[in-house]
Amino acid sequence: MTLALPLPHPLLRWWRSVLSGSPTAVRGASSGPPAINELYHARRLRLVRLAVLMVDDLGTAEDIVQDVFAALYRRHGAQLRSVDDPDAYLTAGVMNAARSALRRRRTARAYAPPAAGTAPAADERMLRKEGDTQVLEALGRLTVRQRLVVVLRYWSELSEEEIANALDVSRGTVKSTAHRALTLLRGLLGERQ
Amino acid sequence: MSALEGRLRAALDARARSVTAEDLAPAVPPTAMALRRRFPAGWRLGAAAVGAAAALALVGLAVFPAEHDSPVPSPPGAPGAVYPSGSPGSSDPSPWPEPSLPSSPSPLINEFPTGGPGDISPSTTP
Repeated sequence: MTLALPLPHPLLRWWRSVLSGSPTAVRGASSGPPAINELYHARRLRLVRLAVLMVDDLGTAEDIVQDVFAALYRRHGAQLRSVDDPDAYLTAGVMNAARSALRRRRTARAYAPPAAGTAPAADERMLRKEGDTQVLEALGRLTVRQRLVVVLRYWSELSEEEIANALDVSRGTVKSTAHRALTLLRGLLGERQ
Repeated sequence: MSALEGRLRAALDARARSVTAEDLAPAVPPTAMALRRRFPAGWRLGAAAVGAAAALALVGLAVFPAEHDSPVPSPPGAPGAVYPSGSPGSSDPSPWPEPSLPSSPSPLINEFPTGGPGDISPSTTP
């Protein structure tokens, strides 16, 4: 015996979305998926990787990215019509959140030893080359701003101007910060100029 | 590109690639994040419980229809209900008076004139 409830489609969709948390319940959404959700699926992994390079902890990195997307949605809505460059917005948001997380962590470390969760797992270490591990450890000894600039310059491949926009500093500040960071890394890694 | 810059790029790339899509938590798009805030897990669980109870009730009504609403006719040979009789030997065993129709029409009906227009006679003459 089949019992079919004659629920209208919008009501059915709303009910399913309430139970599953899917995005179909957004009012005013067009027939396709909202632009912010497409952007989320397209950029999430890369942004999490960027955040991991900053905070070196996957859980924190994922939280940072979720918070940045939530802030973007709250401020500009689902269709992102009022945002000129969502990528730049997201990069800047991740950098700001990572900076805050690092500063909080360093403040906490002044009072307590580092948590075990922030160190890479043993199998993860084994996968890395010895040279990579040395470089990453040296990166951890830079200041927060130096690390931001190095990651954006050598992993995101941003120009000095793009880094300046993302960090909301002058181009000269980016240049001098990068120069000091490289000098410090050379000393830490025993490289010759 | 200096050797140091090459090492930096290689190390950062290796670290980034160590994070894959499989490592990430299940995706929760921003619109769903807002929805979850609007309907927290407790509310969604409550709504699911209410929905399940309603569905069970509907299924129960469909499978077991309400039988007490319609009286079941007794089979012809079965003994009927026994009512207490008023007195032994009484000709009318039913204690309830049966409704009786009036034997004659109501007198009110006969108060109206039954004749035609010709039966009406003017009381005064001009």
